[in-house]
Amino acid sequence: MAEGDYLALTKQLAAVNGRFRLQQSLIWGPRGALLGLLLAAIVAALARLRPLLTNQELGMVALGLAGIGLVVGWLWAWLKRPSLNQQARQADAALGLQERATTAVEIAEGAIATTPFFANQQRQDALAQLKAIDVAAALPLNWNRRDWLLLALAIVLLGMAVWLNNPQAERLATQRAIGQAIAEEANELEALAEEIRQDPNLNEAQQEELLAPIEEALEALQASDTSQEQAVATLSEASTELRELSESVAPPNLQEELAPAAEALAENRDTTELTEAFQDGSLNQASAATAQLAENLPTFNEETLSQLADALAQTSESLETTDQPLSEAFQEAASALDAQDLAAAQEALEELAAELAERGEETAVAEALSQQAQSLADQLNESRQTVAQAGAEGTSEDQQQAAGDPQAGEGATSGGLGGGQAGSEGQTQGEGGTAELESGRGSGLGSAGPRGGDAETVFVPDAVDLSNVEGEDVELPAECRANPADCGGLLNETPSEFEDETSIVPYTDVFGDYQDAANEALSDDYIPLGLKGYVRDYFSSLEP
Amino acid sequence: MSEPQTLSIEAFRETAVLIQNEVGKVIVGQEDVLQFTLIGILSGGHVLLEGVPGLGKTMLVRTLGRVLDLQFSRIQFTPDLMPADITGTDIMEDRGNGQRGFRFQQGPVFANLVLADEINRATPKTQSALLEAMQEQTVTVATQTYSLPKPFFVLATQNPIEQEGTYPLPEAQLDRFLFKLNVGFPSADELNEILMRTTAGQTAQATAVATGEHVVAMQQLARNVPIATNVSQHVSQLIVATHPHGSPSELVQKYVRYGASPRGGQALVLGAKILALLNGRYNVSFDDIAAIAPAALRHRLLLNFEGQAEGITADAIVADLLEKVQS
Repeated sequence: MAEGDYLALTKQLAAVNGRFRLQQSLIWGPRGALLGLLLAAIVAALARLRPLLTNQELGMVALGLAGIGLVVGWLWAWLKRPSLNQQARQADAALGLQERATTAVEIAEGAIATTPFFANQQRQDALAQLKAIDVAAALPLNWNRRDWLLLALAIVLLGMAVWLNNPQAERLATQRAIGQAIAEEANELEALAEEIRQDPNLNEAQQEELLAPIEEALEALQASDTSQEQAVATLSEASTELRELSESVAPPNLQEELAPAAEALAENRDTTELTEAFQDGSLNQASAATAQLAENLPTFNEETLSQLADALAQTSESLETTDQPLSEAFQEAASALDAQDLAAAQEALEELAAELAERGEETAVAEALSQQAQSLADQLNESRQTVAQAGAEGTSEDQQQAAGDPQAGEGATSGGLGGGQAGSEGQTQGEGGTAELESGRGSGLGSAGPRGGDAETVFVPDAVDLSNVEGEDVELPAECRANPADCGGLLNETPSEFEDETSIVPYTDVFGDYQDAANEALSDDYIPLGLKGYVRDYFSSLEP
Repeated sequence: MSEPQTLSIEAFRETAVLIQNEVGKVIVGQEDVLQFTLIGILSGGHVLLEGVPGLGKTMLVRTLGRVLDLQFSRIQFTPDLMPADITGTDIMEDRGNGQRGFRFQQGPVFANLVLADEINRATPKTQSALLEAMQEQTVTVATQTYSLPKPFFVLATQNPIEQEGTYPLPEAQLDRFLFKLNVGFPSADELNEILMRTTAGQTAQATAVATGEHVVAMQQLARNVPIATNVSQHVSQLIVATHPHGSPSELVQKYVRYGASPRGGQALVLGAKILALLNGRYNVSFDDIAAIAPAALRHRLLLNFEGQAEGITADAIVADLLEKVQS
C-alpha cells in the first residue's frame, strides 16, 4: 500500500476512533460519577447508622467520589487505545462500511493476500467511503437519558442526606471529643515522661519507677481502639500506682519520730537548738546543731558535760525502739561524755552530725520523689477527669446532674468504697464515710459512654486519703467475728442513723444477696473495666 | 464487451447486469433465483433448483445457456435412465474396408451447461454417473476417461411434490451442489406478465451477451476478492455451529442430525465474493455472508426425525444460526 494512502487511512480511522471515544466518554463519565455517588450513598447510609462522618464531611466525600468516578469513567473511555485493526472494525460496525476499513488495514498489514490490483481498488474504495462519511453526524454525541436521570436522582438523594440532620451527629461529636481528649492527654503524658527523663534530680531507678505507670498508661492511650472507659481506667490505675509510690517512698513524719528525742533534750539548755530542730523534724538543722554542740564541748564545765551526757543518754533511750542507729550514736556520745573523753565525745557528736546530715539528704530526696509522684498522680487524675468529661458538653441536665450527684448509684458506693478501704482491720465505719459522701464527687463519664446520649452516668470515685480523718472505732466481740449469727447485741452498739432497731436486718442475712448482685454486675460487664477490681475488693473486704 | 482476459471489475458488473437483464426478457420475476444461479455459475459450482412444475426452471436454465452462449444440453431424468444415457457409450461402427471398431459417442453431459431435469427420478446409479462428472469434470467409460468441456455447469431441478417413485439424492451428493435454490410461485403481477408474454403471438427471445470465456474470466476475477480475517472466521464459526454438538443455536441442537461440511464454507466464501462484486464492493462483508447462507447451507443440514416431524425447515435453522453466531 502506498505510504500516503496508509497514512490517510490511519488518519481517517483515528478521527473516527476519537469521535467514538468522545461518545463513549459521555456515556462512561456519568456512569463513573453514578458509581461514585452510589458508593457515597452507601457511606451516607453507614454514617446514619454509625458515627462516621459529619454532614459536611459526607458532602465532601460524595463530591470526591463523584469526581473520581467521573474521571475514571472518562479515562476508561480515553485510555483504551485500540489497535489499528480494532479501530477499523469499530469504524466498519459504527459507520456501516461493510468491512471496507478492516479489509484495507489487513491488506496493508499483510494479514490477507490479494492481487495488487484488488488491494489498490479496495483501499481506494475504503478511503473514499471513509471520507464521504460525516463522522460527527454518523456518531452523534448522545446523552444516555437513563444514566443522567439516575445521576440526577442520586444527586438529589445525597443532597437530602447531607442537608437533613444526621442522628449520629451528636454521638460522632462526642466520640471525636473523646478521641481528641485522649490524644491530648497522651501528648501530655509523653511530655511528662520526657520531663522525668530529663530531670537531673532523679537517678535512673527513680526515673524508672516514675515512668513505669506513665508509660503503661501512654501505651494504652495510644492504642487505636482505646475507649473512653479504658482510658479513664488506665489513667485511674496509673494515678493510683503513682499515689502508692508516693506513699511508699514518703519519708516518715520526723516530727513525730523525733518528738521523744526532743522531749528528752528539752530540759538541757545546751541542747536547745538540737531540741528545736527535733521538734521541727529538720534533720539538717539537727545536724548543724549537733556539729555546733560538738564544737562547744570543750567550753563546757564538768557539770554541764554530765548533764549533757544524761540528756544524750535519755535521748538514746527514747530513740531505742524507733531508730536504733541514731539511738546508738547518741549513746556513744553519752558514753564518751560519761567517760569524760572529750575527744571521743566530739568525734561521736561529729559522726552523729554527719549521720543526721546524710539522713537529712535522703529524706529530702525521698520527700522530693514522693512529692513528684504525688504531683504526677494529681496530674494523671486531672487527665482522667478531662477524659471522663470529654464529650459531656451538651448532654442533658439529667445526665450532667447524675454525673455530679454523689447519691446516684455508685456515688454511695464510692463513699462506702472509701470507707471500706479505710477500714482494713475488723469492721470499721467512721466519719470518714460521711466525709467521703461529701467528697465523693468524683468525675462522671456523663453521656460519653458507648451508648452516646443514652448512656447511664457512671460515678468514678476519687481515692481519698483517710489517714488524717478521725473515726470512731467500734470493736467487735470475738464471737461476732467467728459466728456472726450470734451478734444480736452488736446491733445495739453499731452506729447507725436508724434509731428503730426493729427495722435493722442482720448484716449477715443480706450480705449474700448483695454479693450475688455484685458478682452478677461484674460478670455482665456493667461495671467499667478499671473499676471492677475495686468492686471485687470491696465486697471481699465485707465478707463476714 | 471487453476482452475476457483483462476483465475489469466494472466490466464484471456490467456483464452480470447484462446477463440478468437479458434473461429477464424471457423469465418474469425470479430475480433472486436468477441472481443466485448466476452467482453459482460464476463461482464455478453447480446449482440445484427445487420447485413445483411450471415455474420456469427449465426455461431459466435454457435461457441462461443462450445468454451465456454456452453449449446447452438437457437430460430428462426418468427411472429407466441409464448411466450411459448421460455419459455416452462406445458404439460399433464401420470404418470401411470391412473393418469395424468402437467409437465413443458422447452423451448429453458433454456440454457447458447441463440441465438435469428432475434428477431425483433417476436411480442412484444413474445419479452417481452425473455426480461423478460434476465432481471430477471427467467421464470414465470402459476405462477411458474423457474430459468435459470448460466451463462445465450442472443445473439440476427437482420437484418437491412428487415423492413417489423418486430417489432422493443422498447427502454426500447433495453436498456437491454449491447452492440449492427454492423456486417460488410467482406473484399475481408476475403471473399476469407471464401469461401476457407466453400467450402472445411473439415470445421474447434472449441473445448472447457473454461467452464461456467471459464466465471463466469472471470466475478468476472473483476469486481474488479479499476477505477480512474476522469475516472468514465468522464463516468458520457458522459452519461449526451447524453441527449440534456445542452449537449456540437451540434449533440446531434439537433438530439437526448432522451439519455442513467444509464445502459449505467454500460455497459461502465464493458466493459472498461474487455478491460483493455485484454490489460494487471490493471486499466481502458480513452482509454478503448472511445473504448467501440460506442458498449455501439449506441442503447441507441433515434434519433428524424430530425436525422432519415438526416441520422445521432448514431455512429457519439457518436464520437462527445467523442470529446466534455473532459477526
